[in-house]
Amino acid sequence: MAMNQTPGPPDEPDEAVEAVLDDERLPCGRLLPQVWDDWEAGVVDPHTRECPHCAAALRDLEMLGDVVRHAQDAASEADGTGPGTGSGGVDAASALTARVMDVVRLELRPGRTLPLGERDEDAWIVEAAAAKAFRAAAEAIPGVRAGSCRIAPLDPAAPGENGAGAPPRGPVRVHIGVAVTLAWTLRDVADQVRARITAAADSALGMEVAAVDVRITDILDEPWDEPSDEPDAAGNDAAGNDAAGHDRGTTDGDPS
Amino acid sequence: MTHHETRDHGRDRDRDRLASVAADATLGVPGVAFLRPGLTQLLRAAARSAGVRRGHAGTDGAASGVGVALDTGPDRWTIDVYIVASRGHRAVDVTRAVRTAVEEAVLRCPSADGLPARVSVTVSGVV
Repeated sequence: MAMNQTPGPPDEPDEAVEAVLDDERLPCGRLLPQVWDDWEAGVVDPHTRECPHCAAALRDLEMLGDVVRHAQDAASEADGTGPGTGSGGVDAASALTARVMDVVRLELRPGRTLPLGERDEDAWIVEAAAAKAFRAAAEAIPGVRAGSCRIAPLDPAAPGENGAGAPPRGPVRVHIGVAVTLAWTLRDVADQVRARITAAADSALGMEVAAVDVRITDILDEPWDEPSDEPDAAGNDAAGNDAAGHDRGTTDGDPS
Repeated sequence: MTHHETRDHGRDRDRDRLASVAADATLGVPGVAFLRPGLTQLLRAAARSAGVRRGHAGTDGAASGVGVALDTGPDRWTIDVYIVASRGHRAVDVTRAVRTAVEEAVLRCPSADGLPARVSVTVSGVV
């Protein structure tokens, strides 16, 4: 993931970077994962040393690392043969740390509380968790990189059972920015993204999505994925041409 | 100790006990990866295990990820549960299973004093 390499807050972040900034920016303008990565890589940065926000983020990271290591050791001691013993130990610990860090990031920036299930249910999901699921759904489409994803109630006044003060319970609108390769036609890829997110909202979450706004924020230069040698079910051949010989870019509706 | 103070201490114990019972019930539900590791609780735990006195009062929170309060009018317990769910389970289904498990656990728990519970479940992450 390309990050802003110069110190200080970026002047004109492009949409893809802004997506991450939306979710993981410290009040000083620094990207939280960048601060963590730099610390782990031993990068020395005068800003980080002096900035109270960065310093706090690193303090939390160190304490969290201690907790995870402690838990890992305790688990492997108790187990004897569990992760943490043998050569698989380091990988397992890193994987565990990565997963815990993932959750910690959500903790720091959870966003809105959004409804799951029926109107009168008391089930919720934080915006950051739902956004992560929707971004993953969009990125399952070849040639698509998801950026900023925000989710908001369609009707802010829709009350839940809890009445005034409780978050609204109605359907939501998803706003997502994506960067796509030129092989896509814009309407097709927007439709695909919309379909995937709506499906994920139902199958993975149980959230009612009334609308999905897709912003094409950038064109990717990346080479297209290698197509297989066999023509696919739609009769498209290996060069990405459809049965009539037109360049399709990808197969519509193919859940690759 | 006045009668009022005694009652408050008793209520605190009930709350802690209920939070613990709710947390155990939640962790037993398939699809729950773990209770939200609230950062403050995580750090307190880290500080304790490192032998550091944080010099900071306040309840530990019986279990991170569960908040218990006693409502009056109507008299009932409000139990807020924060979970990190596992991928491969539909999030709303996990919340429903958690609610059922916690409601049943509260019914069986003497500390509930026979009062019903309103259980709110929030998914704070998916791993």
